[in-house]
Amino acid sequence: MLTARGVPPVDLARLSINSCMGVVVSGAELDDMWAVVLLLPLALEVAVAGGRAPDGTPLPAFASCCRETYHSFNELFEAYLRTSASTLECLAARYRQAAAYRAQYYPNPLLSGLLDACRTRGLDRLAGGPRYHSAVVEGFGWANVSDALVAIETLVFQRGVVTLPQLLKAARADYVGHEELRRMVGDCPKYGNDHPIAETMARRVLEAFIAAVNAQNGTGDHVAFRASLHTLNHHVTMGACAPVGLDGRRYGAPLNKQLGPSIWAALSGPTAVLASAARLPVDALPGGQALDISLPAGMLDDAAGRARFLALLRGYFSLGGADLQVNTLSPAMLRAAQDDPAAYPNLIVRVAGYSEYFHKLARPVQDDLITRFEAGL
Amino acid sequence: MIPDPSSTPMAAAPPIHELTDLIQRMRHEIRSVILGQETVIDQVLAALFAGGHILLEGKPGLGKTHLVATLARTFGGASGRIQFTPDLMPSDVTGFRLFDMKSQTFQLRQGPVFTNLLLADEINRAPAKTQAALLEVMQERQVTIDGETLKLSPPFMTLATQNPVEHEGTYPLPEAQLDRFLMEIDVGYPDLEAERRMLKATTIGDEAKAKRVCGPDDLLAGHFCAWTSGDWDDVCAKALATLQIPPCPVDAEIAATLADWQRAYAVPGWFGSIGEGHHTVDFHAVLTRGVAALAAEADAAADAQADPECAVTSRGMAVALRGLIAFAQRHADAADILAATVMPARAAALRRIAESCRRVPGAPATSFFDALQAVWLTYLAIGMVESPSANSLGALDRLLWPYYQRDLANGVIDEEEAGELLAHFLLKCGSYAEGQALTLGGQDEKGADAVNDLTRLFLRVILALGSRNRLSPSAYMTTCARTTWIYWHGSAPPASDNRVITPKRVVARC
Repeated sequence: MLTARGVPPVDLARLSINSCMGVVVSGAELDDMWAVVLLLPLALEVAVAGGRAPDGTPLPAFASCCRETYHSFNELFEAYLRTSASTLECLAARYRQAAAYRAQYYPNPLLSGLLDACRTRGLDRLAGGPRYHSAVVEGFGWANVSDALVAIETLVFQRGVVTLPQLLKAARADYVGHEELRRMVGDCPKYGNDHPIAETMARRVLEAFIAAVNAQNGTGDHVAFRASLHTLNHHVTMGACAPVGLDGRRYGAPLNKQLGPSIWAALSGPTAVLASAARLPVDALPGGQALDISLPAGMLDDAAGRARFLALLRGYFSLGGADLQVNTLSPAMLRAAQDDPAAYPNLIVRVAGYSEYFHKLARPVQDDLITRFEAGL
Repeated sequence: MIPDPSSTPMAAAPPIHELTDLIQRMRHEIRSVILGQETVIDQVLAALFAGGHILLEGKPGLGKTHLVATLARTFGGASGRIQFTPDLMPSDVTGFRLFDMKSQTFQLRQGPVFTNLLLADEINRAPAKTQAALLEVMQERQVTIDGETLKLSPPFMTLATQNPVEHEGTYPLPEAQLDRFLMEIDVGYPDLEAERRMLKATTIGDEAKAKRVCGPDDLLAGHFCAWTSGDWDDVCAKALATLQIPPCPVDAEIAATLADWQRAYAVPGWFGSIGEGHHTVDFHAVLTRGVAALAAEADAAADAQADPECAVTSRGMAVALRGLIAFAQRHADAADILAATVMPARAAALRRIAESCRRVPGAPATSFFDALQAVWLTYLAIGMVESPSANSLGALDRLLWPYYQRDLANGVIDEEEAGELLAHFLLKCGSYAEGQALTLGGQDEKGADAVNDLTRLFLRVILALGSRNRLSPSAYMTTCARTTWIYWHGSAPPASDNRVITPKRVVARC
């Protein structure tokens, strides 16, 4: 299969970890992480709003993607797909322009000379010189979309307890005055709990995202777009300005992090989180696609605890899991470090694709980590 | 940089062939005295006629002062020298007024800047205030002392020097002030033949003296000729083209769509950014073929390219790759100097580094030590031209394994020394580009476990250092157990990456 696609099998052995979480063919690939960031909950909100801005103004670019009303869940899902695909198409075109621009005005002969096959092709690293030029499309808030779609399907289209405009209106009001509706949204199955309904939807959302990204390829140029879910710690900053919580998320709260579930939605422990994540089609994604978990601080202090941890690692990987990031620090210690940073100068936490001294992190990121550790994530 | 028009005798501007002839005669005279520095002489003359100043970088004793005095002699100008020291005051540069008891008046004492050619020796040894005094003179070509502005007599040119070694206690020139110099020139050692002639001239008293070939006015006329001859519009267009990089174009339809989104939903910056990319360069080729061979390949490709743009691009890569070799040579020079001067106690280790840098990465590595040095120099050089946060190290345990295995078998190295070298290497990489990925373990091209003894040595070193480097073991339990140990230790939380599924990912992506 590899030969048929023009990729020599020897490249398999050249794969290596790249920067935070990518996987590249060493010496032959330019991997543009963060080439495109797609805020998926925004596409869903536009679709739910019928292609209109919050003030009711039509958005011309998305008029043909959406409908004023939806008679079935699948109609809404299709509208969401068209909206996100249309945005992605626009951003992919912008990336191609920008890459060509940088190749022309910011060439890098040394780096190009050290990437196969720039030297023989006579092309810069951004102009088609390397054998592989990947542009990574980061899908932010994919699990929030999945949870929101489960809630919409359940409450709007199956049980009929609320209409789509009513749900949108309540979410835009941050559910103030709609507490019962928030409770009902919260009670719907959520990704990360090893729940079949939620996991099926998560897989559907993810597969649709991957298909939309792959559809940007095949134009004959050298850029290959790859779907990815890396957020590093930007799920916090993006969450602060992200659209409404159709999944019940509070205004400004962090989005789901990387491959993991929303903090407040995962209530069944780390084993359930691992089981849910292992079912996702991560082999269709380019990088490690990290999942973050936090273990009780004392778990590795004795042989039995370490054996359990080994079993957890083995179990996750044998199910098809790709990349696991583990912290073993207690939330109490992190809170103490937050209150008295000078007393914890060497406290390191695994943030995302990298580790960092806790005292160097911004307060919102520290808060997110503490909340995550309390939730076992 | 542009000469003061009021000081330029426009009517006396000679035709271009006379200017060319003048430059040739000056060059001839200077070359008869300053041996083995032909390129430097040409660059200094170019700057002189362009009305610019020069920053000379080179070790002591390479004839920089002699060059300035010789240049001044060729046009009968005055030359001066200031040795910059930490206690040098601005008034030591520009001059000051001194109260004369006899006449009961303030008398002007002009500083050394009142000359034609000024050598500002080791300019980075004086604090910013004193540097600024000189740099203001260079820009304005005038000095203000106690409210009185005094113009310098043209021509005026400053040749400042910086010593590339012994940076302790220096005050590096800020970027904005470096802009005052038209050129920064590296003054290197002359070749052996020039050294032989120099030795002979200085020991038997056969030293040449430069003759005067023109006067200061001829030089000023030459200034004007240089600035006014040629196709001015073409020169301007070329110069401006290097400055005015147009903004990145965005298709109108795309721009409108993005603007729509941002207006409607007030979500800033979610559309992604065009980064410089992440990459792990071809360390395998660096180690097994050597950078000189890669440069030769780029040159051969340039010769064979039908498309002229591709030919230029390949040629540029060849030049850059040879630059990497030159960078290693300078690294070797620096290590030799440190061994001889500052760190004699570490002389043996520094000389070993110097010897290694003279071999790699230009030539293929033949030992573990050279292989590690080649990777480090390449990694460092790439980071100097590209964000170091975008460069990863790759599967070094596999790349370095053959060298380690061979040295171990031949008794050239033992595990302890290899571990220490790895520790130094990881500390350097970590301090230079914190948190970049190192890949360990995984599978080889046949799908077999790629973990080797060097993988385990890397793990032990990482554990000992409490490093934050990423860990990518295969699914084999011995490595998993080691990973668990590191988690347990708590200071180095790495990530585990299951390489068993990577073939699937490659299939999916290609």
